[in-house]
Amino acid sequence: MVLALSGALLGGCASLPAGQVYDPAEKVNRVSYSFNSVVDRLILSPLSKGYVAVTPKQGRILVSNFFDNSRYIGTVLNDFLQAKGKQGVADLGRFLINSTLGVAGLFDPATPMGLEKHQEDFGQTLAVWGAPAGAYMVLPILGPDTVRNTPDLAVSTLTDGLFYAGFFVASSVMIPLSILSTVDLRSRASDAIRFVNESALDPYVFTREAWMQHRNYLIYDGHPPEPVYPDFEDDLPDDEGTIRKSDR
Amino acid sequence: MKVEEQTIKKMNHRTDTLRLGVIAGLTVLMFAMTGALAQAAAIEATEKPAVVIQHFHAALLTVMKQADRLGFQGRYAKLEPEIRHTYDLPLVARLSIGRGWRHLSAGQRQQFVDVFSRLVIATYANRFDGYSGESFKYTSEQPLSHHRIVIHTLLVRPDDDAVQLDYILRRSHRGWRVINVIADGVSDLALKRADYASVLKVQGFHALINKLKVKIAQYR
Repeated sequence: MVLALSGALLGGCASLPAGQVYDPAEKVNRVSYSFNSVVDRLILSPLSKGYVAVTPKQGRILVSNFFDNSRYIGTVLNDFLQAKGKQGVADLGRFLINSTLGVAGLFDPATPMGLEKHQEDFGQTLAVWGAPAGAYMVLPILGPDTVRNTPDLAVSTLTDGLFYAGFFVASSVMIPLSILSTVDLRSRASDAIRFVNESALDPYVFTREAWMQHRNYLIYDGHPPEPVYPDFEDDLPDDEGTIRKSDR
Repeated sequence: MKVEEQTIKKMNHRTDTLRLGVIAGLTVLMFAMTGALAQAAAIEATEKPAVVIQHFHAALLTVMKQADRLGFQGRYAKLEPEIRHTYDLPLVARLSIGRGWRHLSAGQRQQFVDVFSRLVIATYANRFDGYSGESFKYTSEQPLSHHRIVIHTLLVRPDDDAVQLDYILRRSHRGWRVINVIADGVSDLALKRADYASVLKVQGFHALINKLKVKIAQYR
């Protein structure tokens, strides 16, 4: 049943015109979008503001470094799954250096050594191997996603060092740590969220469009092919003064 | 003898015709070349797309450095001529509405271009409200179809990851003008198209205009 459903969702986008997002569950998605906005306004946003207010920038950078490093094996794994061997070796080196010299990832000595940070996940890996994005969805709490990205929810959990630390470290440490991890992510997203709130007429559509585009940017490692520069030919005047048939 | 004279005359005649032909050809060529040169000069006279962006970035940095002193109104006043010069605002406005443009009256189109242009300028005046060591860096460029080019640049921030800013410019009779900006892969024009189309479809043109005016007021 689940397979049949996901098959239908994956297949549905084949006939969609370019530049449009396949969002068959928009009504449900709008509900969870509103729910997430309320959760954000009541809980995450105040937590994030408080955190930013009491923690100096340098401290917040250490926190971000630490959580990024704990998740970095996921990037290494997906480098190799996408057959980017060279990048995989470099990213493994980055992880090892930052975990040791960088004191469990708090510091980032690898970047100045030329081992830049990359962002790879299992959703990107599936895209690289040709899986279609499938339906857009907004998950409660977790936010925007597509069907293709859902297996990554498991993969990214299983490649997060903190997941395993949970077996050894007391929950009195692990629970505050995972709250801090969420607050860290929220505080880093605050510019983007502010941007949506300020710019969007319809925040749901705006977020969907921005999220889909940014995913595509990640899939192509920052160099999407030309079609990503949206094709506005239908709307472009051929020459000054002459306008295409479609505009008359 | 006579035969020889005749041959020479014929040959002379031929040479004359040839000479005439060559002169005519050269004249045509010269005219053509002058035309081509004039055209080349005209193209040379319009700013190169990378230079358009460079000037725009310089103007932004100037405003950012005086942001506090200028205030919103001051920044708006300084940026308005720069943005109107850099962007093809009437075209961007039209592309932002997408297919809905066809159904607007001439008056509505004019009103939309006007409100939209003010929104773009107000957005810049609102966002570029301070300076903390940012700089802009040109990285590369690449021609696109339909008289367009993409200029890749980086917004380098001292305490943060750099933002990749890609400008799409299109050549019009006014020279190279920006029609879209893509920040870290997110296209401003595509966002607006999706957003505006949704409002236009569900709530109509007047709601769209009113919402844009509210945004402008909020940026002040």
